Amino acid sequence: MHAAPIEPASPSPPPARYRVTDAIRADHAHRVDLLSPWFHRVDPVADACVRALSALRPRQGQGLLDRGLAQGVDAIPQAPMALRTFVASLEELPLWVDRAQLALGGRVYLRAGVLGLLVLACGSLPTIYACPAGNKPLTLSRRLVAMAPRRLLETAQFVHEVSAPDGLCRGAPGHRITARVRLIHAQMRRLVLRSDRWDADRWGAPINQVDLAYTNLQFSVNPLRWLEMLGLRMHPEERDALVHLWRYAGHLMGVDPTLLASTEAEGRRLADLIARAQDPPDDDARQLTHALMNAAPTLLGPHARYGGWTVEMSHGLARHLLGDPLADALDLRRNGWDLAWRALRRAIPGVNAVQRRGGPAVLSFVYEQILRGTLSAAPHFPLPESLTAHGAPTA
Amino acid sequence: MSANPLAPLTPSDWSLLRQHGRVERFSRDAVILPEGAATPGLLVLREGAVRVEQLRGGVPITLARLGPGELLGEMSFLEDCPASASVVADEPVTLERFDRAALHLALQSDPGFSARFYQSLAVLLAGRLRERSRTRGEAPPSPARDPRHGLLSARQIPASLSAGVDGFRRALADAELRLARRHEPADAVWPTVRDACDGVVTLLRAHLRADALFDAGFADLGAFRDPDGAAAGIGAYVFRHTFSALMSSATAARAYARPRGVSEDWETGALIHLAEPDGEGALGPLVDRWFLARPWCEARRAARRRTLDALRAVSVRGDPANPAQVTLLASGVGDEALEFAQSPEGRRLRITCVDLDESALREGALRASEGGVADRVRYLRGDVAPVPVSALPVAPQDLVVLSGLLEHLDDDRARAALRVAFDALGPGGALLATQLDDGPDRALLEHLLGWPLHPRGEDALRDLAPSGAEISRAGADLCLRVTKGRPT
Repeated sequence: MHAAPIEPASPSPPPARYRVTDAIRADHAHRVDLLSPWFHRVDPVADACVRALSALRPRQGQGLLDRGLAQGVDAIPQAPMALRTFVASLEELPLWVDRAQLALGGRVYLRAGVLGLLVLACGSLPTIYACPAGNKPLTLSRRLVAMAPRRLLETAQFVHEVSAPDGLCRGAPGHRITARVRLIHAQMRRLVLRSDRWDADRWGAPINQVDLAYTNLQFSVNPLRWLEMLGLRMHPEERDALVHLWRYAGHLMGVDPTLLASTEAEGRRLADLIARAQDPPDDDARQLTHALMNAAPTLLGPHARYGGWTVEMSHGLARHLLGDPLADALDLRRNGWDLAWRALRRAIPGVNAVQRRGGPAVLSFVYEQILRGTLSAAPHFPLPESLTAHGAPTA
Repeated sequence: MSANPLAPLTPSDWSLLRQHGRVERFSRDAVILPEGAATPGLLVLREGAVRVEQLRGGVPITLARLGPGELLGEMSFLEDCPASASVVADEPVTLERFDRAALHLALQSDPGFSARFYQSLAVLLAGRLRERSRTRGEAPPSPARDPRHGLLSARQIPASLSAGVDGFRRALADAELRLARRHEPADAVWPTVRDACDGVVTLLRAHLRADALFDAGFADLGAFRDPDGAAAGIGAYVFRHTFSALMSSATAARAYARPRGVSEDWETGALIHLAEPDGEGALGPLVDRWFLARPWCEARRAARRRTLDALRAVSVRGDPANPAQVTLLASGVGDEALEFAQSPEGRRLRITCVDLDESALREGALRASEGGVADRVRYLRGDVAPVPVSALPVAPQDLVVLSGLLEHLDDDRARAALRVAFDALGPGGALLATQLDDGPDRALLEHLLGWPLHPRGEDALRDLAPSGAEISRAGADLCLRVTKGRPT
């Protein structure tokens, strides 16, 4: 007995960027059409909140937002309704959230330490940039192209805080950063739509639900694969926990539940569909990726003069993680580092074993040193002082 | 206005009424009823038109113009008090006068007639009260000033803007040093002041372009500024850093102050037309000289010259016995009217100056009286851009001029002003209007003087104008001309 075909929820045709071949349709069947309307859907709650914030002075709006995120919606009775609605929506814990799994997922990433940072820089971000429609909000303002080092550090800080113990509890830094990133996406969407530079027929809505979902997968299912390629061993429940952590982070980020993967297999299927059905990398993708690769020395701060090798290392690692087809499309260099990373993975399990037996994690130490600026200039995440001044997270 | 103010009266009521009335005729400018005089009864206009004038500051200001069918003296009749305003024949008039004592006897003799008569007066006064409430409620409030701080985060101020503003301040500081300490002549320092002031306006315009505002928004996404917010913030930043220099200019300072709550009052206009630089300290006169030379100020002076040319051209249609009719809307003091009225051709025109600003009307009426041209230039208090549109109380005009106003009105009110002006034209009459376009001084006026402006390009102006309008460019202004057709 065959099920009736599932009709798309929206009559709008998919944007031109959604290139569905026969092979993709054969592999993904009904999911191809189910995904189509999500290119036109965004985040109404965050969009409304940003409109309300734009009517306030910057410090006034940030103050209300900070207080609401830290202390809850009841602490901001005087705030605009849209801001209160946004804050309240973040306080509602979905039924499926499991705190123990969140904690385990965070530990998995933190255990990866500097490997996690490398996977982020050479795997997750280039994959995000590779999508032409997804990278346009970043490249329409030349400023963001030039801010690659800062964006890398900010993303690293974001991932670190999400992974920290109780990082996504209400009021915790990870929870608040996630909320602010969601609003920044909404603001970018708003600016892009006010310009005459956005081609909706070609790209769909700016920073749409598909883009958000795909980005979310670059912090969960793809890093699992990449960390494994680098030699990190994870138990099945650890893998599930990481996916669970980013499922909840995606929920806070405004990703619709329909597009949030509950298992690694679900996530891989969705990531595969989106990756295969999008336009190949364009000049903006290559420019962003190269800016990212060149950002490596700046992370060393006063030691940048020793960092020339880090650029080559980044190219090699990115090629190793992304594979030759995508690496060639992004114009990543072929050098000996690709082979070096293949060899390095043999050493990783040993360090992994040391970490599992407890004690300070060498890799985590290096990672945190980079974040705190010992080896680099201080990270410049656009958080107000009040956010960093808040103490232990509230649950 | 009602064509039959005593509509409830029956034909027999009118027969009874006319037993106590008489027909009177008055020539142009004859005083039918002086202000303050005891009213002899009721007046009903049958032919011609009158103007209702009141002395304000010792000079007559026209409050209304009434035509055939209108009733006069009803308030004084009811309250038995002197006339609150003068009634003057604006053209040859025929009216019916109903004697007070005789009218009272007739009302007492016939209760039915009395009831209908007082009902008529009640309906008439209720209608006037309703109209007055409507127009008073719709008068736009004086625009309040925004605090203009906290609009942008520090990261959204481009380095090139802050450097440019710093350069402006250094240049003016150097100029002041040269004037005050080294006693260099003003003409030697003038190019430095001019270039610095021109430069900061150019800098502001560059940072208000769409792409610059887009980048400002992206410079600090967490500030949640859209391009309009970024524009306001950029303007406020330059305003704060140039304020002291700009306020040293007498003209700019007055333009910014808006003493009467409007962006451009008649005294500011007088400074622009006088064009004699003045200001505070050593730099003030030079900054004022720069301000007075800006395209916008030059456009204002050119508009006055064009109005004088138009008055001269239309005067050939009139003669002293039958003058051509002209109205200047938002006239202020009406300097063009006064100047032309005192010329040899001045007797060919009858000019009505319309404005909401009573101080301007009083000043204009005083000057007209002192210049001996009060018979040719009248001053009428009225809203030239009422929404919904209501007719001007003037006779059909040969020329209506609407200059220096449209850029201060939103689309609804600008459309209303053009409609009012066009409707006041007689067959073959011409409307001339000006509109400030989106030119080099928009940023200066909006952001540094804080004027809420509505500059428009040719297409936007054409959308608001009556059909058949011709639009040309004159400096910073767009000039609109439209002629009302003659019946075939």
